[in-house]
Amino acid sequence: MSIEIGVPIISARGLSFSYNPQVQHSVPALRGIDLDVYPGEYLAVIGHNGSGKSTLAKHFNALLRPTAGEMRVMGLDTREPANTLAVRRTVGMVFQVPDNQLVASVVEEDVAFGPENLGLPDKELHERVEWALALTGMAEYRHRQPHRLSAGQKQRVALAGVVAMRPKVLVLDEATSMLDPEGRREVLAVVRRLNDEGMTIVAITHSMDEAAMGDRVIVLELGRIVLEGTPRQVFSDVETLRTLQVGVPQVTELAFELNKRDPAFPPEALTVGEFVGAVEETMALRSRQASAGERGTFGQSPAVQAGQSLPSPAAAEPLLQVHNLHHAYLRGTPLETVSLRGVGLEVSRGEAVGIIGRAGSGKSTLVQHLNGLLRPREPGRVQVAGHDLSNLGVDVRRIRQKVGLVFQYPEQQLFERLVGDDIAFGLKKLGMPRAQRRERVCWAMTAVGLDFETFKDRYTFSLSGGEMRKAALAGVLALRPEVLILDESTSGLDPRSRRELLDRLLVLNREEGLTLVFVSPSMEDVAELVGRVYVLDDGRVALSGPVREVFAQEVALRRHGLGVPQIGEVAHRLRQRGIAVEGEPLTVAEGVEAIWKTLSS
Amino acid sequence: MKEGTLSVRKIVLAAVLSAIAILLGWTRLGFIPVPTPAGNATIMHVPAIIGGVMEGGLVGGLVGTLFGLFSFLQATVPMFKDPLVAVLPRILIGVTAWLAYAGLKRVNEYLALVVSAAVGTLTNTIGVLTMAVLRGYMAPGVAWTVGLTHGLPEIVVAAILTVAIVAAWKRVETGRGEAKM
Amino acid sequence: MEDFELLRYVTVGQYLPGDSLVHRLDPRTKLSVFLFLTLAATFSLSYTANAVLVLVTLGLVLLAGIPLRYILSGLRPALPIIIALAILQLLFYGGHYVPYGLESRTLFQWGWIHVTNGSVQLVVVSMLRFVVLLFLTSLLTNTTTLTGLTHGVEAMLRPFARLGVPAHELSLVATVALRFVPLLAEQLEIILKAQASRGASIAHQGKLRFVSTARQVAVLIVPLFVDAFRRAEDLILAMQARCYVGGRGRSSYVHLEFARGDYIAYGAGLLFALAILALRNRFPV
Repeated sequence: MSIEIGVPIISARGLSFSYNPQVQHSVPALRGIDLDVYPGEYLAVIGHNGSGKSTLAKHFNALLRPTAGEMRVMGLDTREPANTLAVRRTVGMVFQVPDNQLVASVVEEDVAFGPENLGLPDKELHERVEWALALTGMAEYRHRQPHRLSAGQKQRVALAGVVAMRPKVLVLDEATSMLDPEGRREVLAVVRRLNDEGMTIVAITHSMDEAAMGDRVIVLELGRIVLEGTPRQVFSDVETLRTLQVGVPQVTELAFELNKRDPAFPPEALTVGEFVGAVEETMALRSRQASAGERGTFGQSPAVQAGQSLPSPAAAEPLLQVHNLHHAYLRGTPLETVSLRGVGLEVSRGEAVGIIGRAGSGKSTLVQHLNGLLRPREPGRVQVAGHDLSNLGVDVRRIRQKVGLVFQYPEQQLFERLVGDDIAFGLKKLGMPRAQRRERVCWAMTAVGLDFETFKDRYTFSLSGGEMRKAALAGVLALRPEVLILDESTSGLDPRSRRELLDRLLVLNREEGLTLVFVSPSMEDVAELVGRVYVLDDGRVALSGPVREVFAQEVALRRHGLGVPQIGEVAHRLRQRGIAVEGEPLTVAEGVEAIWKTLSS
Repeated sequence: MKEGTLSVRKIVLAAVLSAIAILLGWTRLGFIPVPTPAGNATIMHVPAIIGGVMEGGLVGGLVGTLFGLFSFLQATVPMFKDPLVAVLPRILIGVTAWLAYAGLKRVNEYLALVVSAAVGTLTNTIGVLTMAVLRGYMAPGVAWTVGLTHGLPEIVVAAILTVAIVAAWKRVETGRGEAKM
Repeated sequence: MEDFELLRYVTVGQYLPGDSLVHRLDPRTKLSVFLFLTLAATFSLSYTANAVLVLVTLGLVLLAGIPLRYILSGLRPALPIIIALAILQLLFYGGHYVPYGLESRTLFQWGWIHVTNGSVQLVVVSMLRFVVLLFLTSLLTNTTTLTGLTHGVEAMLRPFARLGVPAHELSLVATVALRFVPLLAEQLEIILKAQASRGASIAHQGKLRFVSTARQVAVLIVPLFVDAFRRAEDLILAMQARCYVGGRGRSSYVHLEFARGDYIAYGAGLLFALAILALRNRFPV
C-alpha cells in the first residue's frame, strides 16, 4: 500500500536531538532528520545499536522532544506541551520488553489501562477491550495473570493495550526482538492485519526479514538517514549495508553474491519466493544459451567446502550424558507444570551442539540440569565428565566449574562494580591466588574481545549492551570450563554485536576445543555454529541429528513451532520444483556454492 | 499535561521499591545473619530508605507504608500482628531518611547517603520497639537489648547497601576505581 | 537443593477461591469491616471484649469456609518465638504494668521474676488479640483477590480526592507493586542461578536460606535493585505512551456494586465495632 500521496501523518524537519544539550560537544543522537510518514504505509527503520532508531521512535509520540528542528504529528508540533496528549492518542507504541510495559495483574484490566486514561465512557471502554482482545487472539486469556503467559502472548497483550486506544499510527520499537519464532509470527500477523485495515505502521527492527515486509525502509547511521527507499531499492545496495553493519536478508545476500559471479543472475531478491524465481529464470536462460552453443562464463568455481567438521569418531569422548530426564516445577502444588518428559542427550568433547525449540519446550530446564542447578530425579540420569549428578555427594561446585552456563540477557547478571572484579568473581570463590586470577581475567577478556587494560577498571553499569554481554561471557570463561552453555545468550543483540559474539564462539570451539551447547531461537545462528542439534517440544526430544539433516525436515520443524534458516528454505523449495541442490546448505557461503553448482551443471 | 502530586515516575518507583520490600520479606532474604547475639539483621526497610533518598518523602513514606501493611498481613507473631507496631513506625522510615538526605546532600553526597541510611534504620528500630513496649509486647529491658544488638549491625548493613545501590544506579563513582580481582 | 525453585511459589496474598457469603461481599465492605474490627481489637484491653471478638471472628471464618488448619499452619514456624516472648512478658513484665480493670496484685515473685495479675492479663489479652487479627487478615486476604482489594481501596479513597488525596495514584502504586513482585522474584531466581553457576555457594540450611553473610546479600541485592530500576524506567515510558497523566479524567473498567448483603454486613460490622469500643470501659474485666 505504498501511497506517497496525501498529507503525511508524521513529518520531521531538520529534527535533531541530544540527550544532554547543556554539555558542549556532546554527541547528538539525531542530526537533522527529514522524514514524512504517510497514512496507511508500513515503514521499517533499521540501523545498528546507537544509530538513533529508538531515539527517533520516541519522538513520534512525544516521549522525547526535538532539541532542534521540528516533529509534527497530524500537523501538531510535539514541542508544544498542550499537544502531547493528542499526539500520544494518535501514535501508539509497543516496546521491546513485554514484561516491562504491562501495568495490571489481570490481562483484560491491563488492556483497559490506555482506554481508561482516555476517559472513555463505560460502554465504549468495554467494546474497545473486547475488540482488542479478539484482534490479538487473547480473548481466552482475559482473566489470566500476565506473568503466567509466554513472551509472545505478553507482547500480544501489550499490543492489545495499545490498539484498544485506536491510534492512527502504531510504532513498534524492536517489539519482536525478544520473542521466539512462533511468538514473532503471531505478533507480526496481528501487525499485518492492522496495516491491511489502514493503520500506519512504523517498525524499528534488527530483523531484515521484518524490514523486508515494509513498503519503505530507512536506514539510520549516527543519527542520520543514510539510505531510504523501497526494501528492493535499499537492499540492492548490499555493499553499503555491509559497511553499515546492518545486514540484509540472507536471500538478498545470496542473490548479490551470485550476481557477482554471473551478472545475468538477478541481483535483487527480498523473499525466498523471489529468489527461487530468480534461480529458475537463470537456469532457463542458461539452457537457452547452452542450446545456442554459447557455454561461456560458467565453470566450476573454486569450491570452498564450507561447513562444520564433525569431531572424528576417535575423539568422540562423551562429556555430557543425559538419560530419560523428567522434571516438573512446583511439584505437588496446583500450579505444577511438567517441563521435561524423558529427555536424552549426549555431547562429546569438542563438539558444538544446538538445542532449539519453542518457548516453554524445556530447553532452559534441560541445560540447568547440566551444571547441577537442578538435580535429576529417578529415573533420570545426568552424567558430566563421568560424575553422576543424581549422586547427592557429588561436589556441584566442581561440576559448575567444568560446565559454564551463561543465561539469557547476561548483562543483567553482572554483580560487581568494576568489570575486572566481576570477571574475577568465580575465581575468587575458587580461592585462586591473586596473580593467577589476574592472568585468567586477562585471558578471558581477550578471548571475548574486551581489551584488558581498557575495560578492567570500567564500571559494569557504564558498559554498552554488547560489552556487558562480553563481560558476562568472560566471567564464565575465566573459570576455564570444559563446556560452555549459552542459554539464549545472543538474543536481542544487534546484528553487529551478534556477529562479533558468534565469531568469538567459533574461535573458542574450533581452535581452543571448547565444547559448546548453544540454545538459541535463531535458526541462522544455530546453523552457523553447531554440528548437531536437538529439537525439543513439550519436554521431549522431537528431532535430533546433524544440523543439516534436521534442518532438511522443514515441515516437521514448523510443526514444532520453529522455522529453518532462509537458505535451508531456498534449497527445500528448489527441490520441490525439481531443481537439484547438492548437500544441505544452511549459511550464505554454503548456499552460494551449492546454488552455483546447480546453475553450472 | 499536568500531572498530580504523584508523577508517573514517583508512582512506578514507589511500586517497584515496595515490590522489592515485599519480596525481601517473603523470601527471608531480608534477614541477614550477623555475628551478634540477635543472629539476624533486617534489611527490609532499605527500599523505603532508597525511595526517600531518590524520590523524596512521599515515595519513601509510601514504600514504608506498603512494606508495613504486608508485614502486618503476613505476620505470624503477635507483635507484628498489631498495626500500631507493624505499620505506623514504617511510614516514617522513608520520610526521616529523606529529611536527613536533603539536609546533608549539599555537604557531601556520600555522607548524606550514609547518614540517611542510619536515620532511616533508627526510625525503624526505635519506632517498632517503642510501639512494642507501649503496646505491652516487650518489657523495656528486653527492648533495649534488642535495640542495641539489632540496631548497630542494621545501621552498618543498611548504610553499605544504600550507598552501593544508589551509586550503582546513579553511576556515582565512589571510592577508588581499580579492580582488585 | 531446589531452593531457587521456591521463588516460583511467590504469590502475594493467599486468595482461596470459594463462593461463601463472605467471598461474595464487595471488597469495600470487607475492607471497611476489617478496618472497624481491627480498630476494635487494637483498642480493647479486657478479657471479655477480646473473647467476644474471638468468637465473632471465628464464626465469620467458619462462614467463609476457610479451614482453620490452613490459618494455623502458617504459625507453626513462629511458635517458639511466640512462646518465648510470652514467657518473657509473663515473668518480667509484672512490675511495669497496671492491669486493666483490676487491682494490681503480685502472684509470684522470686529474684528478677515478678508475675502479677497484670502480666497474666497482658499475655492472655495479647494472645486473644493476636488470634482475632489473624482471623481478620485471613478473612480479608483469603476471600478477596489482591486486584479486588486494590479496586476496593481506590473506590474507598475516591471521595477524598476532592481533599487532594491522590486516590487513583495510590491504588496504582499497589497495582504496579503487585505486578512486579512475581517479575522480580523471577529475576532473583536468575541472579541466584547465575551466581551459583559461577561458583558462589548458596547456603542450604533450611528453606529459602540463600545467604550466610552480609557480603553475599549485597552481591544479590544490588543487581536486583538495578534491574528493578531499569524495568521501572521502561514502564514509565510505556505508561506515558499510553496517555497516562494521572487519575483526573480517567474512567474505570471495573465497577464495584454494593448489594443488599453489603449494606447489611457494613452496618452490622460498624455497629458491632462501635459497641465494643463504646463499652470498652464497662466490660467486667
